[in-house]
Amino acid sequence: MSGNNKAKNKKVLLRCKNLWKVYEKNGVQVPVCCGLDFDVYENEFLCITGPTGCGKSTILKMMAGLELPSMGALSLRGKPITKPNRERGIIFQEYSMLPWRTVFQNVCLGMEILNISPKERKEKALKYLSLVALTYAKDRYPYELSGGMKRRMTLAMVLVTNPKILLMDGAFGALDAKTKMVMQAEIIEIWKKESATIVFVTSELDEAVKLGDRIIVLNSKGAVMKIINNTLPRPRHGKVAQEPRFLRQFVALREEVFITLKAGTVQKGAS
Amino acid sequence: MSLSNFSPPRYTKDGDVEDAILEIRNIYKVFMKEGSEFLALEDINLKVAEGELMCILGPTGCGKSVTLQIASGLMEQTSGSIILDGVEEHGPGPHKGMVFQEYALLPWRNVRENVELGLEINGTSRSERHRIAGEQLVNVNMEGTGTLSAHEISVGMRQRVAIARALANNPRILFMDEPFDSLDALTKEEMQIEILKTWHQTKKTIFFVTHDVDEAIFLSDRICVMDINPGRIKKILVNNLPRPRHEKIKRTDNEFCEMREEIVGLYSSLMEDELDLIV
Repeated sequence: MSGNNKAKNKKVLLRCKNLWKVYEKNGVQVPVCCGLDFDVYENEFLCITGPTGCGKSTILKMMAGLELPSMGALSLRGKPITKPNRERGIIFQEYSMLPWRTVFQNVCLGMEILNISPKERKEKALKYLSLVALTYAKDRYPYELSGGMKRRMTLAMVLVTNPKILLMDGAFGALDAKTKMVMQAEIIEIWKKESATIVFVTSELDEAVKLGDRIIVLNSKGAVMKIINNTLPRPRHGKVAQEPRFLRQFVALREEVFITLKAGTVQKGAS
Repeated sequence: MSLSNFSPPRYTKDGDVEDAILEIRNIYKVFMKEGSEFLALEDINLKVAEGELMCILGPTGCGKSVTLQIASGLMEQTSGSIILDGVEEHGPGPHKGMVFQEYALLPWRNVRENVELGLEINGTSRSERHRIAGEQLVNVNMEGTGTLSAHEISVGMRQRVAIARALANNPRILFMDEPFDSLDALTKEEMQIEILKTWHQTKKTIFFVTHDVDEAIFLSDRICVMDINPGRIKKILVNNLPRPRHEKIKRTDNEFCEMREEIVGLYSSLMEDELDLIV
């Protein structure tokens, strides 16, 4: 509900303008992103999907400032993106945490670097630990956590520094089906509560359709095939998602994404 | 049964079969969990017809994989019996082919050598091994790829080799445990169509475990829908959607949607966080 309404008064948060990324491989220039032109709106949940090697992760890295475009420009509220910055939080599929720190201490890490007072650190860390439902495990070490818990902790570590935009790269890819579903529902809750803007890269169509306000489908060459508006009503998890009407809308939209993806994919290997 | 007069299995009114190749009879499985007993399977009864593609569908914890492991002889049941071709079975064997999510190819062998593995172990002659491997690679649409190394080929191809390897032993039944679960959407669809072609060509009986509702509908002759707490059979559905499925039916078609809704409806009593089936 919230997502669709928000999209109506669109305010651009992040802009990709004629974005190219070209790598050199054995002396040959290989483009991975080809002339990408799109905006990410304030409070939007934008999903990006595409076949293997389409450069979807590269886009996210450029948004984060971890890689620079070969041509074109990226800007956040009009300011060019040239290097990593706390205003753009990025979460990868691999966990990034310090194994010798407890959950609470890991969440405090970013704030320690920012020289935030111990009192404020504690308040904020506890607030975000409760947001990701990890308060009960705050004194545990990472090795004592399940995959889903590590995921939530990483989320808290990033959210606690108040990023303007959250960039997530295949974040739930390695989780089992059940944990994945719980995490999807949770990220939507957090997105609503925090009025966050999220760019979510995934290779799973179900996930893109469940989460996104819009879905950008890339082709094998790294260009935009289609930007699909996702008008499915929210919430999209739980009991409502099992109702026939919803199921049919869901399947129809997923089919549209699938057909687009198929049309843009160059099959490698056998038949 | 000769291949020429092969006919699809016939079902009784309640969706059961009369002549079964595999019969799962009164299977119970109790695990010890933190010092107390935990009932994983409660009274599983299922007959699979010769040449049938039977899908076992259910959320995590319903015991669908445990059922497969017991039926294939990898795990021992607490009580009950497994009957294959009228004989009570214990333990695994070459007549029970298996394909899992992890394809377990030997990376230092090429494609053909991987397919020949089982034959080599049971002492089949070199020329006979070559002949069978070649034949099975045709069955999985991998003709002419025998000399490629196993580590060089795509994930979809690896799954095909794993299927060819299982078929090379000429099993009576093929057990598949969520074989396409970790594949991307495009490769998954390709493999689903591929396994149906292979099934059609070889007329093998397939026992296929999945938690993907659409996959079960797309593949099966019947779907055995399982429930949790304790793991048990909820309902056995006969799937009459026309074949070949990839030509005759779309996932957005009404009949497909109705079947999906019936299955999802069977789980309406489950708590939200217990249901991790995907459509």
